[in-house]
Amino acid sequence: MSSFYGIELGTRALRAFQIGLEVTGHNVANVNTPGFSRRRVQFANTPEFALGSRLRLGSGVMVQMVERMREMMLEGRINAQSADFARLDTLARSLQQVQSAFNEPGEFGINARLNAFFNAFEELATRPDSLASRQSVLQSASALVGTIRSLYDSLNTLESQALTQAEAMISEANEVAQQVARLNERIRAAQSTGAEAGDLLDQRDRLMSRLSELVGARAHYTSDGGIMVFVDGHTMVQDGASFPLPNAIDIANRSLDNTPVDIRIQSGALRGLMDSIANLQSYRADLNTFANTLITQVNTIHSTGFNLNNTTGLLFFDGTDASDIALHSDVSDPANVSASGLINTPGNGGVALALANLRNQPQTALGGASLTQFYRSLVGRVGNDAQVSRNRAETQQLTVEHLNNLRESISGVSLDEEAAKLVQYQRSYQAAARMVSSFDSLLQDVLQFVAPR
Amino acid sequence: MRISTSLQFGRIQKTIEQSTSELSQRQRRVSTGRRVDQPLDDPVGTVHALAIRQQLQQIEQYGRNAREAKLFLQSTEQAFADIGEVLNQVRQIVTQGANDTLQPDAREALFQQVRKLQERLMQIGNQRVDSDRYLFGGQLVFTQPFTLVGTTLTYQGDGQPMHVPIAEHHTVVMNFSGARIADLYNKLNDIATNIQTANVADLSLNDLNDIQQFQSEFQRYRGEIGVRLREIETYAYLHQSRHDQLTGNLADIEEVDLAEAISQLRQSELSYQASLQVFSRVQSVNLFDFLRGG
Repeated sequence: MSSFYGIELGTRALRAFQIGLEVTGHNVANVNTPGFSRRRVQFANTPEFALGSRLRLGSGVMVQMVERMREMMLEGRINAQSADFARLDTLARSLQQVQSAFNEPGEFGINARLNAFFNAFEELATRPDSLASRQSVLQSASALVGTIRSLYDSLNTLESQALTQAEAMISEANEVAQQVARLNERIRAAQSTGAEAGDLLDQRDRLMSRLSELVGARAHYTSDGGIMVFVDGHTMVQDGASFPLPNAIDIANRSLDNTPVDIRIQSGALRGLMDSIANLQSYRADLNTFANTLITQVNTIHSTGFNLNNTTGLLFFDGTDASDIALHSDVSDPANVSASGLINTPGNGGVALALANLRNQPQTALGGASLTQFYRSLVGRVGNDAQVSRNRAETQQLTVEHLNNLRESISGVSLDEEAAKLVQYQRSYQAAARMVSSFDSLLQDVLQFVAPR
Repeated sequence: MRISTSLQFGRIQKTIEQSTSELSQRQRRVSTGRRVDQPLDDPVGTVHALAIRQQLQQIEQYGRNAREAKLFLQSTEQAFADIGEVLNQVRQIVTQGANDTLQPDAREALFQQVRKLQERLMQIGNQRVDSDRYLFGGQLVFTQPFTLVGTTLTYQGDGQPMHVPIAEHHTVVMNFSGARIADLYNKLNDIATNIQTANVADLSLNDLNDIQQFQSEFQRYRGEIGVRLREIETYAYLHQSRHDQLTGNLADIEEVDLAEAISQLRQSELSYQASLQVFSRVQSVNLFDFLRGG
């Protein structure tokens, strides 16, 4: 047993408590860092020292490990649920924009415009000879056409925005996967030298949750501290290598085209965008069916009528669907709006009345619904989809929040707790320092005795 | 449960966010007075609201149609009243003319009166509504219905009915054919001749009888106009009450109950204030505050 045994023991304690203080400082500093897991110092007593055959002396304390407080099982659940939330939330936000593009219920939506259009024809049926009534037919028709096309354009813009966003998400996911692969390497290198890789692990976990949010990726932890990342059957990350997702989006199958097997996207914001694009496409298809039926029906009836100059066979609408519906050049002159069902009979409003009656007439092309009913049920569907997705997103948010709270309760930093630890380590440090100085004064006594001044 | 600092702050922050968003939503409701602003707010209600708005627009159009038909029918009724006046005078003339002892100059005077009445009749028959459409042309609204060929009045119209939609699946005919006006005119030609030739027998028997028939016929037309106008009124009344009812239904769906909305707004304001207070309490308590500095 050396003379400096006590001083060494004290120094070890000082070093251990200093580490404790530093870890506390690290925790306090990261109180606001998202995804940070608090660290806890685990102290252990150093091996005992045998003094003769019966006596054993303790040799002090050491820091056994700096534990990263994290529940891996919980991480996996949080990532899966967050990915689902990202899917629902993305869909809900997108559908909210879609439904507001309809401008319903109100004076500027298609419903009001469509009815004003039929009203104008009804008015014309009462005044089949009137030029003013014809002008108001054309005005209401042009307002209707404008509203249909502007809704179509809005749906199109929303879709192309969603598509651009989806592509951006895929490239972000590929970028993140690359970083995860690099971190895999560094973590393995660090761990092989026995070094603490805590901050690297935190960083990788953060990237992993981003990957889940983006494309619903799942992580598999390997025994050497690496993670493998999967999307459907596709391996995105293995060890230090990453394998990017292809950019070819297949909305109908909610997948990315890939050889040999397509990659199905089942969760994450990307899936939300795919769902919303699919919805947009189906709304647009309905809008097109609506516009097409309107064009065909109005033209069919209108072309049987006679204009004020007794010409027949004139068309009213041009175009085939919501993208190109327009007033036909045949009716560029109001006098050409045909109201009469009989030649040379300006007071006959038969055709105008037939056109007005289209309002509530069942259409085979619309599954037996009238034009107005069909449009109303489209609005109902859009509103309902938006509401359902919002409610689902809200419910899912509660689930994610609950899990996040659980994680926070394990991994989150509590300043009160750290303050207490700070005091604890500070006092311990002071006590250890006091111990060193006691041993020092003992030694001084001995040295004085040996070498008087 | 262990509560971390960021969880503690995160929860309060979330509470504040929630109450802010609720507050602004309720403020918007009170200020706009609207409960359903977009389909998302109430999809079923929206579809219902759209259907109601359609019915309202339709009813308003029926109202405009009915006003049009009413105007046309009233003009027609005035024309028939005028014709009735003409017929009364003709009847007097016929009665006076059916007299053997009448002097030739008196006969000539009666004859001239009949000619005048014929002119008047043609003038009535060629009347237009709003100096636009001919009343009696049928669907040939721009063709002058009556023209003279020699002394015979010929009807140029088609006598076809003009249907005006005044309710769903229901139209009212707003015009009458002018064919009988021509018949009447030509009958007056006979009467004029009979007066001139002192054909007392015809005048006192056939002509008087015919005129009486015309009188009751035009009287019947006026009765028919009355029926149609009453029908229009009935629908107008029905539509008005339906309109009121629908407007009420629409308000129930789209608009907020203001008293309720305001009391909800007050609640939101309170809970917002409460959450701010909680925040200020929480952020002032921390173990670090109680440790000696240095």
